[in-house]
Amino acid sequence: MSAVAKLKKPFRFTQGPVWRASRAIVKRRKVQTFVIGMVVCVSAISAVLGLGLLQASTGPFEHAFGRQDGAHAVVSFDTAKVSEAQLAATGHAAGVTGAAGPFPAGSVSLVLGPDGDHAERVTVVGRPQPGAGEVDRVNLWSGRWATAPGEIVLNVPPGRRLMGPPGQGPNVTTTVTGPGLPTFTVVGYAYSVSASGDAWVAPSQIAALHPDHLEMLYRFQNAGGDDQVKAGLARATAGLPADALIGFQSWRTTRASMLAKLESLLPMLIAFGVLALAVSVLIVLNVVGGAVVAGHRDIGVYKTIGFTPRQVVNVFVATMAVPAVAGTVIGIPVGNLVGQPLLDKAFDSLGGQQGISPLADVACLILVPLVVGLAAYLPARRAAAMSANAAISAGAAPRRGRGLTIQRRLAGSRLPRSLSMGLGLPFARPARSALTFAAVLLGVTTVVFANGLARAMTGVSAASDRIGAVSYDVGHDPKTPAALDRTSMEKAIRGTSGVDGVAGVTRGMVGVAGMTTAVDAEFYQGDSARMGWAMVKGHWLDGPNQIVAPARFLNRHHLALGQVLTLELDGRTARATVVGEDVTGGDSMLIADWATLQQLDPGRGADAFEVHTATGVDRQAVAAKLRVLDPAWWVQVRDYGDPNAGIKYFSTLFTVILSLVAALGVFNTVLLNTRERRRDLGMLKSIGMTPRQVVAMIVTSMGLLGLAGGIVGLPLGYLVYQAVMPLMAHAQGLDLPAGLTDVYSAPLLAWMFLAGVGIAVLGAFVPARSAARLSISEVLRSE
Amino acid sequence: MTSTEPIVRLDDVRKDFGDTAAVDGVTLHISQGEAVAVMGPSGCGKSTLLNLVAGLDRPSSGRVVVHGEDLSALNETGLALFRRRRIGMIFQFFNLIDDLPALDNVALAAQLTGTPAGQARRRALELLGELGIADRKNTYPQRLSGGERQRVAVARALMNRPALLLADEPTGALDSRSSEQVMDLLIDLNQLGQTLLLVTHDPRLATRCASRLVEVADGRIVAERALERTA
Repeated sequence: MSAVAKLKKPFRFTQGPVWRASRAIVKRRKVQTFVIGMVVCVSAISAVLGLGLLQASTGPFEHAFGRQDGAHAVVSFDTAKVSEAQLAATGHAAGVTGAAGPFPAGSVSLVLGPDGDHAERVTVVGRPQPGAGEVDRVNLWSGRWATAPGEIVLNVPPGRRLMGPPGQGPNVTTTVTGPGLPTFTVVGYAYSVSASGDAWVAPSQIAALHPDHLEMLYRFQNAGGDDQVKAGLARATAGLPADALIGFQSWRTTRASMLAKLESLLPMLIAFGVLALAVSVLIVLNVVGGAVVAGHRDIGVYKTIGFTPRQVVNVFVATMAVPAVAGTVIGIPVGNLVGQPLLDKAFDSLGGQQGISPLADVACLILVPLVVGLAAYLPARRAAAMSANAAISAGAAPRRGRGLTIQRRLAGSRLPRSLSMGLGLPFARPARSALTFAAVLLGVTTVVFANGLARAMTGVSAASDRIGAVSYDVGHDPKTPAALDRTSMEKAIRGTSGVDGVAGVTRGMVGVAGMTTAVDAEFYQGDSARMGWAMVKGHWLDGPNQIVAPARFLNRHHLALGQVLTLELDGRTARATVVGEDVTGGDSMLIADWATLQQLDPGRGADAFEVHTATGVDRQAVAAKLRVLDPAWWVQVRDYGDPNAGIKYFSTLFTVILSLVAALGVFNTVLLNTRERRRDLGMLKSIGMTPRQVVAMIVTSMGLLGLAGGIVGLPLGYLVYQAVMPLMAHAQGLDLPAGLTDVYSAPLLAWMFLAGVGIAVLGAFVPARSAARLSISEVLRSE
Repeated sequence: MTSTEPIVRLDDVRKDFGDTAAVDGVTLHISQGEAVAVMGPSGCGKSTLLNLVAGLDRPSSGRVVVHGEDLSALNETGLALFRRRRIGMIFQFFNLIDDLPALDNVALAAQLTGTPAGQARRRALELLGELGIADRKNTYPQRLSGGERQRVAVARALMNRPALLLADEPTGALDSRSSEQVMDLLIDLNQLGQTLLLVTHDPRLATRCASRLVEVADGRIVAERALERTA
C-alpha cells in the first residue's frame, strides 16, 4: 500500500488490536482501573485547588478589580465649579477607556446599626443602579438596590458579618441615621472593589444628605502607576476649571490597602497550593507507574504474540486513558465546588468573587491526563524494550536481590514472623516504596503544618481579641439619663456575683511630641491586668506614667522599651515610659495608665468598663444581672464568633484531601504488591498463615512507610511552619511571643507522628483484608 | 482421635464450580501411615480432592474430616491453624519465597506458629541435613536445582511434624534424576510412619511411593486398589 493510500485509509482505532487489548485490561482489572480513576479524580481536585490558590494568590486584587471593571481613579469635583454635563464629557476624553458618573455624593456622619454608639464619617453616593456606567460594576450581593425614598445600600464585602446586634446574624432591615439626617432602611449590601463609596442611595434621595461633591469614575488606557493615573486624569480634566477637582483616589492606593488585609493569608495559600500540586503529581506517578510495572507480565505476553514495542506502549497508555479522562472530568468540577467557598473565605476582603480561574481548570484538564500519560508511557516504553521473556519474569515477582539482607535479618529477629515479613516487604520494591513514602511524607507534612498554623492563628486571634479575658463591655449612652454614675456603676458591677475584675477604659486621640499625627490612646484603670493583653516584651502597666504599645507602633516610630514619650492633650502634657510591647494593634495606638490620663485631662472618668468573669460562670446569666443594674448602661457580651474559621476551614480541608490522596497511594501500592505476591500469599496461607496474620503482615509493611513518613514528615512540617508563620506575622507587622508560636505540645507531636502510620494503615487495611480472603486454591491453580 | 480411626475421611463429598462438579460424591478413607496416590487425567478433579483435604476449598456437600477435625465446621482462621498443625503440602512448582534463603523458607512454617527464630532455624537446619541439602541452607531458591527446591519444599512441609503430607504432582516439574530423589524421599518418609496423599499423573511415582492407588475420572472414584511398591 502506498503512503498516500495509507493516509486515506480510515483510522479504525476502536477495532485495532491496541484498543482491544487495552479494553481487555480495563475489563479484567476493574479494581485497579477504579483505583486509578479515584486517584486521578482526587489528584485533579487537589490540583484544581492548588492551581486555583496559586493563581488567585497571584494578583488577587487585579482579578477582583478586573471583574468589576474597577475605576483607576475615583475623583471628586466641586459642584460649584463644574456642571454634570461638563463632567460627563470628560468620560470621552483621549486616554479614557471607560467612565461612570457623575454621581452626586456627600460626606455625612452616620450611626451604623441600632447599637451604634458613635457616628462614622462616610461617603454616600447617589447612584441609579449598581452597574451604572462602564466602570465600577458594584456587586450587589444581598438584598436589592436603593430606589425609593428612605432606602440605602451599604458597601460591605460579601460574607462579612452584617451589622446588627451581636448574635442576631445577618439583618437587612437595619436602619441607619445621623445627626440632622432622615432615617434610612438598609435594603441591600453591595461591594465596590474601587471603594467608590461607603453607601449608596437613589439619586433622588441624595438631596436629603446635602451632597457636597460630584463623583466621577475613570478607567484609563495607561494606569500602571500613580504617575500614569495622574497623567490620564490631567488629560481627561484638561478642559475643566483648574480648581474644580477637589480630590482623587488612585486604584493603586486602594490596592495597597486591600492587599494589606490579605498579606497574612497569602503565604499560607501558596504553601498549601504547592503542597497540593506536589502530592497530586507524586501520587499519579506512583499509582499509574506502579500499575504499568505490575503489568510487565502482560507486556511480555503481548510481545510474544506479535505486538510491536510501540503497540505495547500504546496499549498501556490507552489503558490508563480511560480512568485518567474519567477522573479528570469528575475531579475538576468537584475541585471547583470545594474550592469556591475556600477562595470566598480567603478573599472576602476583595469582595469574595474570587472563583477558581478557568485557566486553572483548563490547565488541569490538559496537565492531569498528560501526567497520567507520561507516568504510563515511561515505564511502558522501558518494559516494551525488554525481551518478551524478561518482561514476563520481571512481572512475575519483585526483582530478586533487593533488600535480601534486611529480609534475612528480619527473619532471624524476635518479632512475630508475620510482622517481620511485613517489615521486609517494602525493600522488595524500593522505587514503589519510595514513592509511597513520599506520598505519606507529604500527607504528614500537611497535617503538621496545617495544625500548627491553625493553632497559632487561633492563639494570635484569641490574644488580639482578648477572648476569654474580657467577657463584657459595659458603657453608657450619653443621650439616656443614667441613675448610676460611673463610680456607682463600677461598684455595682464589682458587687455582681460571677464578676472577677473590672477595668475602666477611656479612649481618645492624643498628640505625641515628635509625631506629626495624633495617636489613638486607651487609658486603663482598675483590674486592667486581668483583661488579657498578651505581651511580647516588657510588662503590662503596673504603675503611674507607663505606656504599652503594639509592635507596629514601636517599629513605625523606631521606639524601644524604656523610652519616654510626651503625650499632649488640649495644651496639657504628661510624660510616660514605654514599659511593654503587646501582641496586636495598629501602628497608631498606645495604651497608658490612669495617672497619665489624669495629668492630660484631670477629673476625666471612664467611658466604659471591661468586665472579667470568674471561670465557669454562666456568662449570659451574669450579663442579665448587669443589664438590670441600670438600663441606661448597655452591656455587650463579647462574641467574636470564630475569627479563624477561614484558616480552620483551609487547614481541615487540605489535611483531609492530602491525607486521603496519600492513603489512596498506599491503597494502590498494597493492591499492586498483593497482586504481585499472590503466589506467595497463597503459599503462606497454605502453610498456616491466618487471615489476621496476613492483614498484620501487609499493614505492617505500610505501617513501616507510615512510621518513616512520620519521622521525616514531623520535622519537615515543623520547618514549613517555621518558615511560613514568621512570614505571615511579618506581613501583619506582628512580633509574636514564643508562647503563641510554640504550638506543638508533646502529646500533639506524638499524635501527628502517628498520623503517618494512620494514613498508611487507613490505605492498607482494605486491600489487606481482601488479600487475607484470597482463595488459596484459586491462586495456586492460576499461578 | 483413636488409632483405629482413619486420618482422612471423605464422606460423599461433592464440589461444584458453577454447573460443573469437580468432585462428585467421593468417599475415601485413609489410615494412619498409609501412602495413597490419586491418579487420573487432567481436569478429573484430583487436585480439587487434595485441596478439599487440605482445607483450601470447602465442599459443596458431604463431609471432610482430617485427624478428627470436621473441616466444614472451621472458619478461615480455624482452617489456617488446622493446616499449620496437621498437614504439610508440597506443590508441583515448589512455591518457595524467592526473597528468603532455603533455611528461612523452611523455618517460616514454624515461625508462623510462634516458634522463636533461633529454635525454628535449628529445626530447619536439622531437616535440611536429613534431606541432604544442609550445605545449601543459605542459597536462595533461584539458585537451587529443581530437586533441591522440592527438597526445601518437603522440609518446609515437615517442619511442624504434620500428621498428613499432601503432595500435588511433586515430580511434575523435575527432571528424571531429581524425580527419583524426591520419590526416594517420600518413600523414606512413609516408611518412617508419615501418612501420604499424592496426586499425580506419573504411574511410576504412584507405584513406587504409594501403598494404595485411587483412580479418578469426571470427579468420581472409578477404581481403587492396593499396590505393591516397586523398587
